[in-house]
Amino acid sequence: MTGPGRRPLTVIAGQTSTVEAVWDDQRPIVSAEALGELLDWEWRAEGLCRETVCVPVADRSHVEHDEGIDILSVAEILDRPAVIDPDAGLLVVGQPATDRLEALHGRRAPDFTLPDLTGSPHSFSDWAGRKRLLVAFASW
Amino acid sequence: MDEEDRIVRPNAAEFGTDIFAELTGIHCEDHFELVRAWVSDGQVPEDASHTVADLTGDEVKARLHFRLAAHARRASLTDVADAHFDQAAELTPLDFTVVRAAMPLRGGNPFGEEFFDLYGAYKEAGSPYHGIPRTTA
Repeated sequence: MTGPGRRPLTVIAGQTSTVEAVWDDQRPIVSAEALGELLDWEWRAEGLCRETVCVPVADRSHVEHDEGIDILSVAEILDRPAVIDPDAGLLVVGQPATDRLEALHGRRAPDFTLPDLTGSPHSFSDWAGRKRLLVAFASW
Repeated sequence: MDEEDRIVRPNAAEFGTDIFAELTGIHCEDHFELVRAWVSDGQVPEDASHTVADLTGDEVKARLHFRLAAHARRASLTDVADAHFDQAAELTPLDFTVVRAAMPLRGGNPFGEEFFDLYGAYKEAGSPYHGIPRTTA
């Protein structure tokens, strides 16, 4: 892709969402509203914000684009690893390393929610206050 | 995890039966005993203090490629999926959660020759694993 063009971007992060993006030299640009939906962070005057927490951004020109927000730059600022396939319109964004280190060294398991066989969601925290044995396996 | 959400013992390779004990050298009853002792008496095994090492940059990237590939496969983008499964495997050629997990998704046999090739290379490399290390397997 040689210049800006508009086509869908599917972002696989905490959840999977598809939005319309402007593609500039293989970098997807999304609207500020879409950013909130995709990564759960808002672009404000203070920087990148989630509820009452803000990450200051020294050089806003790395994030702001004529057509919206450079989501790859946002991922980088938030220390979230990302892999993109521009031709397929797919972007996957992982969790920051600090989340893993908190669990590994702080010995605190992050909460998560998974569906049961009928599709009903269950969270690990549903059993808070009790001893829990977590079994991960593959049926192959 | 205990009642205060602390990780009492990090992840380890354990089995619910002895069906693969000959291959793995891991017997299920040993783990059952550990769990019973913890639940009933609060006893924690010595190896519980092990700190699991963080993923490397390549391991993180491989998981992202895998996740992208799995999504592409569900969307019937087979070529895209294959390309990212390949990239994930190149980054972490001995990682079961990447290479073996991709086998059935790509029409392979996770109990077939390709698995035993992977298992042989994995053992030869000293059974690298992000969890409590094994001396018996």
